[in-house]
Amino acid sequence: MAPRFRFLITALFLAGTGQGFAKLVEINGGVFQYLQNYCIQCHGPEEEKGDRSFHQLSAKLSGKQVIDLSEETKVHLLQDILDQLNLGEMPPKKKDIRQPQTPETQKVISWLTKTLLELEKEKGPQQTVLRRLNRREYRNSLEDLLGLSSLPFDFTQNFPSDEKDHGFSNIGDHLTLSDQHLDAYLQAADRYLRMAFRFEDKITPQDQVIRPEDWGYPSRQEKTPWMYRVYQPNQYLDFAAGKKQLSDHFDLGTFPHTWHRRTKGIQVSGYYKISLTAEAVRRLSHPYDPKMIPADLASPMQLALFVSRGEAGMGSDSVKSRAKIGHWDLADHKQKKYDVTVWMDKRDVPFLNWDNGPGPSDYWMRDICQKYHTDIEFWGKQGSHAWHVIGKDLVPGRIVSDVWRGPVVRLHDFRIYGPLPQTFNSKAHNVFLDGERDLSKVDLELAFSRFARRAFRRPISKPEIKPYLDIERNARVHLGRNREEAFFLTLKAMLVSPDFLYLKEKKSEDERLAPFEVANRLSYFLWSSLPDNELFLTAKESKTESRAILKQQVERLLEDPRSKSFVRGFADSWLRLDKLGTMPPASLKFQEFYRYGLKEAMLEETHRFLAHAIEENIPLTDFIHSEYGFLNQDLARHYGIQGIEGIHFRKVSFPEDSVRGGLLGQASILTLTANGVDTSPVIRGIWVLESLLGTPPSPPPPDVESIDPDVRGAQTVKDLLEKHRSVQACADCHAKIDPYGFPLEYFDPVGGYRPTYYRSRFWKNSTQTTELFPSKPIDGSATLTTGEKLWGPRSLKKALLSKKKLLAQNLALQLLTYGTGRTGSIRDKTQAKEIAESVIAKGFGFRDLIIKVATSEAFARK
Amino acid sequence: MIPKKQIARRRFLQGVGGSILALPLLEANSATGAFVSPKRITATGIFYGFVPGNFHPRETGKGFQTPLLLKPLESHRDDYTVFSGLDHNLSGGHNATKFFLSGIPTNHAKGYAEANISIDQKAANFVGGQTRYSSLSLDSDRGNEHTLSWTGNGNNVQPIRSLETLYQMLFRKENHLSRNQAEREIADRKSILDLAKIQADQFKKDLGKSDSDKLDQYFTSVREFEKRIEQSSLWLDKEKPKTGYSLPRGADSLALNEKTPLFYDLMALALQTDSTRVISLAFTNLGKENGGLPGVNQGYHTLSHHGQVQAAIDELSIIETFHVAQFSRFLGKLKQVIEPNGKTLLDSTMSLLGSGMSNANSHSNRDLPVLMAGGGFKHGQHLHFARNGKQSTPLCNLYLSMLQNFGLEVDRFNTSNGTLTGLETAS
Repeated sequence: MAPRFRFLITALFLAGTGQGFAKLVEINGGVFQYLQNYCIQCHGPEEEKGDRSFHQLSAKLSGKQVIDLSEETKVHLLQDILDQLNLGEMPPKKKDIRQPQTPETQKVISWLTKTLLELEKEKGPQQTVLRRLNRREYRNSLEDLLGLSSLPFDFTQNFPSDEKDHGFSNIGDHLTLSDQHLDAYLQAADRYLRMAFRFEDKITPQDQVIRPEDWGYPSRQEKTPWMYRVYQPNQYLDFAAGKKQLSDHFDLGTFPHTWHRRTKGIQVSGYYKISLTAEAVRRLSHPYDPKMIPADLASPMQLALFVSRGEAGMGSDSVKSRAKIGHWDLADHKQKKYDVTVWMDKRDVPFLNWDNGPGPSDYWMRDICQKYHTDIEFWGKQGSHAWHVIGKDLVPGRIVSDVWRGPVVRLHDFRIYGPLPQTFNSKAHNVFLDGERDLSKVDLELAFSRFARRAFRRPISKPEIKPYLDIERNARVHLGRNREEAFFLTLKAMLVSPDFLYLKEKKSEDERLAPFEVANRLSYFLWSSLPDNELFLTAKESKTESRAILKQQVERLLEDPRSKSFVRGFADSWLRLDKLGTMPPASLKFQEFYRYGLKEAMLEETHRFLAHAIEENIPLTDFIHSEYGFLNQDLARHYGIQGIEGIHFRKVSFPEDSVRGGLLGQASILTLTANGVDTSPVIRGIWVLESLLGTPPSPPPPDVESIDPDVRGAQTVKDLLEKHRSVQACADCHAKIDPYGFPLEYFDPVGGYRPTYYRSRFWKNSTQTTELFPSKPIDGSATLTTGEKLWGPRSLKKALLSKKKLLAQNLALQLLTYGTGRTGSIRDKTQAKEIAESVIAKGFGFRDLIIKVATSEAFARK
Repeated sequence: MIPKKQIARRRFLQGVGGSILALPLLEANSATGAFVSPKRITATGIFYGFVPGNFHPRETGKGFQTPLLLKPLESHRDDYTVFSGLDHNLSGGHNATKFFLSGIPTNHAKGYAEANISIDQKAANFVGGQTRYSSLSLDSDRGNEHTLSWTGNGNNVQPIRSLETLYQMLFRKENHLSRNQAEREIADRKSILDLAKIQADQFKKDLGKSDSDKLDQYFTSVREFEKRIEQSSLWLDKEKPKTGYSLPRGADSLALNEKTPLFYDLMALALQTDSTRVISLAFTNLGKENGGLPGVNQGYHTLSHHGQVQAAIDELSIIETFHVAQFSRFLGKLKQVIEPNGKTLLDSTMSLLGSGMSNANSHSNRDLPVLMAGGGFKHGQHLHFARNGKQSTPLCNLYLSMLQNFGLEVDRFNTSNGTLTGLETAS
């Protein structure tokens, strides 16, 4: 039930002013007095602190204080005042500043809220504008529509990027469409359709074996090579090199070169099962000094399996041409079988990588040979430097591979079985064509109806199908296409029609959406995809009108694996996880970021944290602080937490005095709020205000130049900002922003903990480690404008916990925005606040909040 | 009387082949005077700016002392103008560099009839179907979404990131099979788009006003797509120019130091063969092996936050000098091509180099580093524009001057408030 506000504003008169109409509204006497008493002192003619002054906000007219709300600057000022009062930051709690009583402030807040709300209502609709499917939604919709899964490559990666509004990439008003989109849609649809419908003759699945000699590496290793790889005929392939960051320069990945030359890769596109048998050999039992091998051999050896577009996916910057499809911890001296079923296109090639390996083997291997194997002779080349070493105890003819005892990945068997039957007996064939593969025997009207019903996400009438039957006929008769081509052409036409590309909501502003429209909103909210059959039927029987049934559906959708899309999409929008890695961390300073693939691990941690919060209905306060997190060994190493082994993620309890826990303890957030090189309390402060509290600071005036960092000498970020804040124009806003960022200075630009700044960090090639030189200690202290003192992450979290209501309100609004595809109008804000209240009363559960939002009146409003 | 022999430009180029060297044949025919060289525009945008003190000369006018970063351009001293004091009056750091060629951020685009259209796309619309490609947007980086070109509908143009693709677009002869396929594709698309329009009309019927306005984008897109298909089908029958130039094997997997000259070579060829008259080229990250630039050991972004540390500035200068030197080499290429009217290709090509960021160390977008060569302007000077209060002279004034020189009859471009004073065309 929508709240009804009493009409509090008295519009005195409307007058033509030449530039539009003045809209004069009486200021409530209390509000005027409040501003006079507590604000004007600093925000008046004398001071204009923070570039804001209120003395000309209203004028006296026939004995009343009136404000002209046709002036946008004045409306913005009111909005700003409201935000500051809600945040509790103004007036600042200082000795010489008069402090209002809480009821006084409450009265002003309520007047401001209502005034702005009424104003917005008069301005016209604040509705969701026709939403185009964004990239994520397009991809999910097509995969679900056609029943395709395990596709390693993203066929939408060449789509124009979606316009974002404060991180949200699904806001109807913001999303645009161009001829480039249509072009990209047609190409993608063609790819998808030809995967889903296979009219050619079935091919019996076959086993293709990539034998040890098919990898293109020698059976004896005369030279110490860039990469040590040796095979034993009919037995196994050993490889002693590999690295998370692939590069074709060194041939770093283990690629079946000979097999590829012979076969040109996979011959028929389809689903394949790749099985391999491998083991870790001599990880801990090698005879060498472990410090001489630049890999973390304390952790299990990891094997990664990739699919590459021909050879194109081997390069360091060709990430779009490869996809990781398997990743395992290998058992020591125990052969185990691993398999994965995946779609491979014609000419695709699988390849392997020792994912946490020691990089190229060349120089460290040479050092070991010199120390341990004086009975061999070996040659090598590094850059332009060639060398040849004859051991002092040389046994003629003896070479590296005769004596090498270092750790290797041993691959015993590698086979590809396929194309699997589901390639031809596809889901799409079954669902839309009843399994019929001869189109001349298919009732096209029925097939197209079924397809349109799913693709357009609503019931379809017969006349609606006619144009599609016509285009199919036209393609055959006039364009001379065969049945299959005409069929594809028709489905492509459906997939570029507005019925598919846009989420249609017929209703006009303020109305509740029709059942199918609600169902669509719901499935795009929680799955970023089209409704499934059950949701479709629920809508068909208009059961979405019942809040109880709607709630059941929301719960069901949240439990479905497809809700992963919600976690990802919402985290990108709300937390700005989409920004992670866009400013790449300095590669020498933060080598571990690349070496251990921390970006993926960081994302995984935050995604799991959110998914867990949904599953367990965790209180929202855990977003500020929790005693647990989700880590694997790489992230645990990054956090300095012992005893976590293996690549899989698990819930880990943090010690009591840990700086981790909550979102602000997560490396993802701490990295995306730094620029990859330095940390900035300003950016982190803004993130806290914007993403957690929902009270973003106003942007700096455009003519203010930002600071030009000068790090010569021993200056810290704090010194720099102090300097910056000596400029009055900057000081007022920064006093509100920076204190939320300073306590996080204990975290470096990739979210590692640092007790001091580092003068510099050196990457030592010989040990493949970074060396740190501590400089000034971190000063994480700060004072909020409320006078509250902070000194580090834990005290910051404590301060934020006292503002948990703001977090709840903000989250409700973020969810509503994400779910409806419209940005927060004041009405939505007000309703989000009410939703939040009801959840606060019930214990702050995140799942409860999502359900409340999805079943709210605001959610189902056009 | 012997009639003057007019040689169609296209015939010419076919005869010429793609060789990038000066061709005496062309010069010989210049006497006819029948040839009017079309104007061209190229714009190179660098993502991380140029260290301001190393880019802008201290003195204005002709006698400026060459600052460090302009040294590679010394041989073209009389053929370029360097500007200071111009910008878009924007802030936003990295985010605002995307609007280098437009001056309007996306969230302001709604207030303009042609949204945040960039100078190259404005010029491209003017060229229309006169060339095989109305414009080429290129990007040297394979992953980044940094973009320079924006259409009149506020969409960013997806750049071409692959040298091999670019080469094929310019020179690959369509064989019978691929021609057939292209023809079928065109027919299919026409048929699909015809239906799309009908469906969209149906779709529109029960929409409210805001939704209906939004759907107009769909109609516009279909129309523009049809136009594009029309254009490509026109050019399908015209043979592509031939060239003796070839790319090295695996060009796309080379490091930036080797890829960059190839990009510029193909740009010069594209202009010379009149395959296009408008090109934008974006540079972002260095890519693998720190761009293959000796002496560069850290990431570009890392170095741009030099914090006034001299060693970092020196390393950064290697990259920035590289970009200027490559641009200089490109100007040299353009100079070597003599057009039928006896002038060089550079004389008809306005070549812009600059960045939407000035000082990356402070993320400043004010006083942008910009220079422009060729195109028939009087060059050889440093033009400085003092700030008027808080407002700088719009960089769009320069763009307006360039567009007028290109042949557009416009008196405004985006945020311009006039043409650029002090920049005159050589008659």
